[in-house]
Amino acid sequence: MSDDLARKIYRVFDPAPLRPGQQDLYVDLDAVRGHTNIVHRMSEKIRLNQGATCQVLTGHRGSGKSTELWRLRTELERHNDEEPSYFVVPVQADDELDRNDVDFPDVLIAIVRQLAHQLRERVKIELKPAHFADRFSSLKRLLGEAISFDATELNLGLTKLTASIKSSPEARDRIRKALEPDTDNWLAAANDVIGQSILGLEKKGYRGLVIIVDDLDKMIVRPHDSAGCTTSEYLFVHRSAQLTAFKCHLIYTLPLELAYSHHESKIKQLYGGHLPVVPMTKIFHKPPKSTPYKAGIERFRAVIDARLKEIGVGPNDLFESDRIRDDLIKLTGGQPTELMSMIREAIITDDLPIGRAGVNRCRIESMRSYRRMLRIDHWPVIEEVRRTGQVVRTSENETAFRELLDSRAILVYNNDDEWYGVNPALGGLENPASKSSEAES
Amino acid sequence: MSQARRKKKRPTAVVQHESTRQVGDFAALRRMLTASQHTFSLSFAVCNDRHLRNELIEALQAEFADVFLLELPTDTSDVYALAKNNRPAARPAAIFVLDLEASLPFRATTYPALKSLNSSRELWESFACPVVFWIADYAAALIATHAQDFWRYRSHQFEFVAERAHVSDAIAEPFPGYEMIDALPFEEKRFRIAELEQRLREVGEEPSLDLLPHSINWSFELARLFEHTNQYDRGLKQLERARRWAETSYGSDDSRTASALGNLGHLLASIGRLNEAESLARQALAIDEKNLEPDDPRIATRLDNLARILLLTNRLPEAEALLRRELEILSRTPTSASWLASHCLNNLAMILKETNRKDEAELYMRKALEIDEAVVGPRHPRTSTSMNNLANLLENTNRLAESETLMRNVLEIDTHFFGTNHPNVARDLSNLATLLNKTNRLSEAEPLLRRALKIDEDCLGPQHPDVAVDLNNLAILLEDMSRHEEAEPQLKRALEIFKIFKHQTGFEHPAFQRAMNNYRSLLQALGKSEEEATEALETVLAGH
Repeated sequence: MSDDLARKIYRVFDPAPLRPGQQDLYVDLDAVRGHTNIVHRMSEKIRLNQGATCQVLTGHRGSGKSTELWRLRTELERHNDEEPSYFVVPVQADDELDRNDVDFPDVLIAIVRQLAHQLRERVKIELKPAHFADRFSSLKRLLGEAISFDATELNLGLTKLTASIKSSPEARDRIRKALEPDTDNWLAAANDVIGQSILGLEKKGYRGLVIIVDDLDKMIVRPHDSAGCTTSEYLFVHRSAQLTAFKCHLIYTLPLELAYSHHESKIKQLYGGHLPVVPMTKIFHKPPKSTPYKAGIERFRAVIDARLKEIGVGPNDLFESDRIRDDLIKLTGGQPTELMSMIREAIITDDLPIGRAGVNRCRIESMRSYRRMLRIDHWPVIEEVRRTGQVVRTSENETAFRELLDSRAILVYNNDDEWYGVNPALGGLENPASKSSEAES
Repeated sequence: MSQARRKKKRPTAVVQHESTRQVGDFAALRRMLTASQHTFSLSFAVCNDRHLRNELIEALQAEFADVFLLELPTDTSDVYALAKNNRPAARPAAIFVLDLEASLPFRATTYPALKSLNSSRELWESFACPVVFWIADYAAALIATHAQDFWRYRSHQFEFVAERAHVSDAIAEPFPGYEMIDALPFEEKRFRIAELEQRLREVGEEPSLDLLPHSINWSFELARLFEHTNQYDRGLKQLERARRWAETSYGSDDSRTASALGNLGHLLASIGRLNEAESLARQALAIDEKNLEPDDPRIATRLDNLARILLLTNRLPEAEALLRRELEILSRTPTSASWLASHCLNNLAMILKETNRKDEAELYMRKALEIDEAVVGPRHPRTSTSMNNLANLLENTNRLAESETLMRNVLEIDTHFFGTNHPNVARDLSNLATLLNKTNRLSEAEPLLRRALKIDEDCLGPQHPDVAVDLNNLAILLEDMSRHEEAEPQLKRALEIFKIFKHQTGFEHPAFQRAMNNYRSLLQALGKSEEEATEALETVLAGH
């Protein structure tokens, strides 16, 4: 087998979320993810509510949130005779914000900047700075010479502001300090711009404006400097009044661990009563049975086949046998991105086709990293999930539980009811307290 | 699929350097560079050995033209910007980022380089080629905690880490009532020895019944002093006589006899005669269990004795059970046994550390240190024992700055109390050398290790397992400094000692496996094939 083929396969099994133009690679996993049909529910909520809605979406890293949001966008942008389409502004939080340190003013600026930029590029609507002109000049006054800032034009002004925010923590601090007491005015200015946008869009035949802020779930969670909670709690709970104050349809991605904290009910209430979670694909039955689930495995095969088809490789050329393929699928625990990563890992283990050695390498690599991460207080939770598929949450195990979700040692599934499974990559690991010798010499 | 699977021939000799898994990792790294050509991927190649790292990179450069080597200058704050500004005009086959360690200052609390790396995550994709960070293992730990997203973003991870045997921790010594003796500075111990020898000479071989308890105690004390001043043979003589006295006068079932047996066993364990030591310790425990209330603190001492021997022979679950029982007893014995509590906590902590329960281990170690500092003060050999254990744990969990401070402290205290020529000092030197090695101060580490080796050889004899551990550590250091030929005889000697240890005790020394792996990879570094290396290893183990 040629290096060329390996290269082609490596490229097509990209764990990044699907991008526009990659429709052919999409495989609908809804039936094996509990028929939650998240995209439909979210788009219906937007369609049925005139005015503004604010929704959050959550799920494990790699569960397919971004792909679902991309589908939601496609769905909302589709137009037919009865229904005009929405104008959807995706805001890649990662491009706009410093993930180490995110606060509401940065989110606001990111949203308005992307909005202005995309309206200009995509539909030639030029927004007027309106209140932003005052805001910019007052900011300039406050910041003095230290941060050069001179703009009367909205796009340019916001771009410069974003650049300063991302450039250094010191500049960001100064800007925040200047913005903070003025937050309401900035929000008003933003809503003024949003109003202009909707107006312009309707004139061009759009039904409305939807802003999707993806990647906010990837912000770094750490203790907040002053609020006595984590940074993610601070943003999504303490600043929810502002986050939900934009007058258009808005969707944020929310860190999964926050959805499973004691803030759960509060967050539901703050963000529209519903907290959709993109679950993992069901590959195994719920513990303690934990036997393989054929339909889920079959859907993952379809995911592989769709990508192979894209590069003109037959479904039987990648794996030595179906058994090897299914073993690798089982090892992913139903995480779509993990499927891509593991195939890449297996490809570099040995010459194609992927054989036993490839699957073993995936297993060993994941075990290695989990072994490094797990602490003794994680184990009771893991063992409980292994036994029952549920976790009875107490104030003692909450931290451990959140960490396990965050690191994907425990995965969330959904069919009929919600349950948890232990990541199959932990399969070979046991509670060190219950055995003595080291697993690896 | 009917096509037979072919194995590609490995191109260079270089990678046969390491154990099987590392050979596999190198092959995977090469395949990755091929498969990910023109496609972005992020990998970490963890390698704690600069020499090996350079060799591997050289081999890869020979195979893949146009690898862009980005060597980071000290205190780089934005790695991505540096990569972007220095990128070659044509797309490279891969980008290798080297020397990130130089921007991770040793005593830092914040790491600007890691913070910016974390936020630059997606930007790297613009290079559209494989990006490989070559990092040391401690840097990997730092990235995993301080640049978590960047770490999680990795597509692959490869490890090329020479396994190192660490010097065993100090094991707390369970003798009651020796605080004053222990606290004597080295010179004063000599005076005390002279004084006690004089007394015991006057007592003669058959002490009166009134003098007997004192004589036995003086013997214990003298043996302890001999132990502290490296005169183990003379110490043994004292204890054997004390045992004889106790058995003839009190009978072999008496608790006083048990304590003589316990002390003798303790010293035998110190010089590596573990089989005899274990049988004495079990005998002593059995006697006390028969005679005393189950929660008598003396039983705690016996348990501590036995647990120490189990620790030395790597039987951790049994040792843990004994120590937990001891702790249980001590918790019901208020103030009197605080000295024992710190020993017990330390030993238990070591087991927890070995079985990867490091948080709990640290808790116990800090508690032990707290007790010691409160009971005997900060400058005391017992405190230094606790400090030493904590320092090792900190080193193990990459808190190197705090660890180094503690280690230097321990070395200073131990030198004061034991003189410059004592196994405890050798242990301290060796631990410090390991830390220096880990932070890339190789030339500073070598004289320390050689001194440690000399001390252990002089004090414990050339066949003691601690000598083997020293030899192993020295060999690894020499290998790090590319002096493979010098390393070989050292490791070979270490293996022979471990072999004898196994033969004598029936148990494998905790560092034996690692030394074998080290030897095999050393031979491969010297140009032998994997099969030849294994064969040579077997020859050494088969003996003459």
